[in-house]
Amino acid sequence: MLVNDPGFVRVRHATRTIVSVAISLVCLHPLGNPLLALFGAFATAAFMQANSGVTIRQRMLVMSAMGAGTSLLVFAGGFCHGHRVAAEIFLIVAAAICFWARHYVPDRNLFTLYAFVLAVLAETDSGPWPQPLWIGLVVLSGLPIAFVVYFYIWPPSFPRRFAIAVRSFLTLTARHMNGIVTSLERRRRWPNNEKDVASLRATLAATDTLTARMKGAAVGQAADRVVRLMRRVVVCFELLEESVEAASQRELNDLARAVAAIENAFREARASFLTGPPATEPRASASGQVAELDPESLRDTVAQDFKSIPDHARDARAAAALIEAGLLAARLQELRVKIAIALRDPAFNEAR
Amino acid sequence: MNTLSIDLRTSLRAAVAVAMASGVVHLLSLQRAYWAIMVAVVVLAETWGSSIQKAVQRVAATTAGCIVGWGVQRLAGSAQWVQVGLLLVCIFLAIYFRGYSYSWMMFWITIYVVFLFSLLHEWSVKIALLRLEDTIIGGLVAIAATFIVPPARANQLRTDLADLWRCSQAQLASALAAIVPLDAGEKEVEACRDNLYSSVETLRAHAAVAPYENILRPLAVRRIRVMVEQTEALGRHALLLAELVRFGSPHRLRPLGPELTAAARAALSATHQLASESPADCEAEVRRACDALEKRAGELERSGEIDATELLFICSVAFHLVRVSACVARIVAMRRQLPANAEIPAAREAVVSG
Repeated sequence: MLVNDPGFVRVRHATRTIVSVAISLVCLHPLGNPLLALFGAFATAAFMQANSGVTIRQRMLVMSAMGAGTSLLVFAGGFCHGHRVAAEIFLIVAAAICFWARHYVPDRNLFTLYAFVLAVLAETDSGPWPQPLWIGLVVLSGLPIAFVVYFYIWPPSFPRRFAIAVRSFLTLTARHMNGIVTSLERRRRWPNNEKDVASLRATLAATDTLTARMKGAAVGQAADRVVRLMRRVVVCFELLEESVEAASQRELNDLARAVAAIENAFREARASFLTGPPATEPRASASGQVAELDPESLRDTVAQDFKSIPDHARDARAAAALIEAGLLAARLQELRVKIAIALRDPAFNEAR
Repeated sequence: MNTLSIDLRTSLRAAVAVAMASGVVHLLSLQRAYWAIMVAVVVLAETWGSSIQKAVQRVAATTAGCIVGWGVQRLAGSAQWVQVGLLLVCIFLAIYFRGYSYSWMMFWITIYVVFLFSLLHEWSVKIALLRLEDTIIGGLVAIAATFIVPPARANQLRTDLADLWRCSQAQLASALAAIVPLDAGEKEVEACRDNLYSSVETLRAHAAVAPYENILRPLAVRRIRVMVEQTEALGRHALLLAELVRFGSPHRLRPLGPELTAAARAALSATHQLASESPADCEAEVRRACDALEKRAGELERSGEIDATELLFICSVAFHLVRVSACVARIVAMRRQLPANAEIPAAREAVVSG
């Protein structure tokens, strides 16, 4: 869940939907008609998905339009029940309308198709008059339930969720760095990055979906900046894969001091991902804060160790790869600082 | 193509799909006609590849859902509260996967349908087979509708690949210009760099639809996959070189000037093959130039003319230049073997502007 739903947006929305479906079932239970209760519950779940838009006002408008439009469509579908030609013409028109309606949805989301599914079900399962009217009304009853639950009882806060998602990403990154440190420490080997990079990619993609909900606002621009920086973090790990994985265990054993320096660099970078960025003052580790990595001194350490090996020419590629790793560790720490700065926008910590 | 015309075409395609599905269900006298009609509409997407992908995923998820749902339903027994509870769990999971994985969403919806019918005391193996049959018919109708009202060909991958080639080339040129005398368009480097970072990350996502766009050409799919992998690698090597040269000291590399310039020029000329209609094999030339560069750097380090730091820097640069040329050679070879109408950019689209 930390990987695919880092801000817990989907799990919260699914829970919200279940709550509204349960409310709908409880409200419609006294009617004593399971078919009507099912229509009401399905409609409530469908309206809960009609939440496209950046501002709350826009989302309210989208959900209201979806609710009213679906009720009308369902009523018309129920009305056509039993008239083959009318039903077929209705379904053809309804399908075209539902796809066309997508043009007016801010993010071109296809939740409008739920209206078509409900209309098809109404056309199939409705009985004689006044059944179509009843079905239309129970579908409409889902709108106030979804509206109240989504906008008043448990409203989502996308900036806040986004900030949580970014924190999850940073935790995953730190975990991945821990894998690098452990592997270098225990086995003198560069770990296989592929799985970790894939999970970082997935977390990034899931976090990126949240930026669409903030587009246009100032917080949206800050979120965009953060996502761009997160992309760079992912690419840094891919670059590590390109360069260091080829270094053999023998080469890394020869370059023990250089490996220890790089291991330490990743330990520092990991600490900054876990506890926050390093202090603005360079090399502040004496004060107990995370030290700022210096790529040039890392390079010099590796170069000195390389030079001290008698027949060092054969280890040149591995030493060069370690310098690249040090460079990228410093780059990762730099990116962490930038992410922290971009996340300072107060909107990320507001309740709504 | 703008969104208005895409939506108009998709609406028309949906109308055609419903008309065709209605005709088929009457012709075959299907018991639950609405399932086929629903599937025919909901699997329609903006591109031919996405429609096929959705139809395939829907059929697979429905099959798996019917089997698993049937098993769970037998285990759960006939207690109503258990069935209602499981219904809610299925709704929860279907909503959880909505917008993330169509297959998983459909899987949970199918299990939900199993419990719904079970609650109404209508569930049987026959219903499962009917649902599966109607799903397959609906999927086929949707694909047929995309033939009648054809959607736009997906060009996202084509655009992404061409962009990445251009950006990698520009990034490489600017990176090398920092250590050897070369002409590089400084203006677009920063934008290209940002684009490279995001494109390398998003390319794979856009490549996911490519197998369905070229479903009738499995060999082309494999070649496109190799091209995508090599393009990603090319972008990454260009980025790493750009990071590396920030810490290079050009004045200390002066003794290596001629060899370094030759290697850089060979690598750049290799990347130009991406934009060439009749590309030449430059990989061997880059390898030769880089070998000469590394050999010379080794000699100079032994004689004390350059330091170990410079030797290691040269070692990194040579390694990435060789890798760049290998990636380009692989891309060019794959492109040569692909049919002209496959979803990849032509050479003229990869020309660097400026």
